[in-house]
Amino acid sequence: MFSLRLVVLFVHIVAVIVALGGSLFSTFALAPVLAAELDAPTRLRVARRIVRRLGAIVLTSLAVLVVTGLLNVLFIGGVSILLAIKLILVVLVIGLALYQYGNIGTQIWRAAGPSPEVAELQARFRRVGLTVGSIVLLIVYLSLGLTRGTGAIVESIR
Amino acid sequence: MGRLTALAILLGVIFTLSYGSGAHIAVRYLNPSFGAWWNANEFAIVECAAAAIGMLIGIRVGARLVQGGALRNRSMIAAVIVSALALPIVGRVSAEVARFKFTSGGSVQAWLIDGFGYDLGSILDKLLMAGVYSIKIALFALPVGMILFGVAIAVFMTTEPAGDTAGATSK
Repeated sequence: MFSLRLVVLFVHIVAVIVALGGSLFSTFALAPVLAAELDAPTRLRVARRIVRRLGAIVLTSLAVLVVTGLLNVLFIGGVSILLAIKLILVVLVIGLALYQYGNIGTQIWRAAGPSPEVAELQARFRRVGLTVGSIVLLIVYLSLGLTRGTGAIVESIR
Repeated sequence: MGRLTALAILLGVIFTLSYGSGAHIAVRYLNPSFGAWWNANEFAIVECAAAAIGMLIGIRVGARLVQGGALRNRSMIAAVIVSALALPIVGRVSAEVARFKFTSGGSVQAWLIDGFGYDLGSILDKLLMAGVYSIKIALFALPVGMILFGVAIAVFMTTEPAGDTAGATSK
């Protein structure tokens, strides 16, 4: 019930929920409300703080995901093609998240005030966030295939 | 950073070739005690060098995706320091994961022995095995390096002043 394997899996799933949930909430709930309720300078100020806080949360969650993911592979005890594809997608997600928060997010953070360029950056920030979210969902689906699908890695090892 | 990566690659290639070809015998011939040390530690050095290569490449790839400047440089330095501290653990875990079979490898061994004869084929097979093992360790360590850089970026982002307050803060 309280094995190390279960705890690692629990932390892994919680990290996915935090990373994905935060991005989805920011894109679909917070951004439209900010756009409707606040004037441009205030909206940029709030968006900048959100970018920074969300960046810290998402990137830390991804770090937890990578560490617990490697431990999960140890517990599963095998590597399949499905897992290799998943690992490639994980690297892609980390790269996109770094680009989203470290590049676009930093430019938004450093912007002096509202401008068409900043609006374009914010739109790109949301697009990259949606792409990251979609790939994370694909990874979750692949994970289900790894543990519960017909060609589950656990079964193939046994 | 470039020199560090080059050093890790150099160490990785030398010790992987040494392990694959059993070159410790030559070192033992020149200096028995150093040869014994070499033989006892070459496998651990192969693992650590491969993990270091993976993490350093991960940090460099991550840095390329981030807007340049002091934030990126500080994050790279912090990520390299944390990577160095985490190297024994990351190397160990990546090595464990890299040992899991992906294919049996039997067909490659048979092909090498068939093509080059038993003696040379066996040596080439061991070299290939050591090379693939190193590459697998590096590939598993790569996302760890990338995300260590990501965490460093996240930490340093929180200390940087915003665009409209940067001037006031620096004054």
